[in-house]
Amino acid sequence: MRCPLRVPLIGVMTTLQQILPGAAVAAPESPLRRSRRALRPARTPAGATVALTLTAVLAITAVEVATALVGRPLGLLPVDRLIELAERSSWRDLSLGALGLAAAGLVLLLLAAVPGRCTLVPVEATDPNIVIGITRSGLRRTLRNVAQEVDGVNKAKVRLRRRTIEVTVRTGPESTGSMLRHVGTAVGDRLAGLGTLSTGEVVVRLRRRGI
Amino acid sequence: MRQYAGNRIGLAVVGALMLLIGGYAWARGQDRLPGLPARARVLPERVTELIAERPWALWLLALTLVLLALVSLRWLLISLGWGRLGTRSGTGTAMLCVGLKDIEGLTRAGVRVMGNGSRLRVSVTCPAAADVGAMVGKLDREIVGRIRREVQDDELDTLVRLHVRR
Repeated sequence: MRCPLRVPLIGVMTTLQQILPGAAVAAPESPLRRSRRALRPARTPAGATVALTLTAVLAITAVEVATALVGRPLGLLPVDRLIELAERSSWRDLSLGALGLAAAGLVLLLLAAVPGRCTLVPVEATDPNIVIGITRSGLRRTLRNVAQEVDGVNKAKVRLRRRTIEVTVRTGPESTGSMLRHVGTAVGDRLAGLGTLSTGEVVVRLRRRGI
Repeated sequence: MRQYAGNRIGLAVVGALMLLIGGYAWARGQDRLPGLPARARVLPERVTELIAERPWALWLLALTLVLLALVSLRWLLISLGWGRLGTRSGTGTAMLCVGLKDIEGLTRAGVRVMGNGSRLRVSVTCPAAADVGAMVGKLDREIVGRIRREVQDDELDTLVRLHVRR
């Protein structure tokens, strides 16, 4: 049986900000924006792949051209065949390949322009020069640990979605609805204590065993 | 504080070039460029003859290709972390460990000075049972400030990476 319970985390954090002295320090830029700018993905896999391909192709072509000019072609690239092909083909024959090249270029441009999902979940910091982030797997583990500490919970599973945190708890057949609230409160308290930014609301689901 | 933008710049340049070349070739093939017939050869005989008459043009091409290969090799090395990983700060790491001595089961803690002392990177790995919230508060209010003062100056940009292990 599944019974979802939603805990509004934004309310909890706002209350904390009001209670804690010095927490609401006026900053020129919002902490979330600042953290996102520092934690957005650097596109390392895509960058390294393109750079490696480019280096290999350019270096091999340069060597091939230079060795062909001195009369001892290495034969790594079939330059003669490529030139023959270019001499024989018309622009119309290239249409499909050209479309593929343009599409690949568009993908690379999008990779460069789209900010992407942060590599770490941003955490609130009082100093504007400090950016704190917790790994997604780390946040999942600490929340799962908190949920499993609630009485009656046998097992818990945490999923971090774009706007929500979904906590699924497995309990025995005698569990009650108040347990959902306890789990929601425990997870919400941990998130508020941690001060995570942009995690959204917590959704708790209950799975009873034996029904 | 900004994330390393070299990969995005490189991807944008290569992507824009591919889009331009692909777009031109497609438009030419579809006869959409006035005055440039789609049935024309990609490499006309006139061009091959012209290049054959001037061998220095091929040497220039080879030199340009070598220079471009070196630029992309530099991009590859930097994207893999060359010159970006910084140096480990022993003093900072020691201060971090002393500051977090109350946390039981702390498996990894380290401080690195990056980009010629313009940035600090603090990494901490703790067990799931640890009170991560308290640890974040301590790092934010006390420990990072102390490390910054010791390593460089109080205004140093600092990135703290937290991880919770199984």
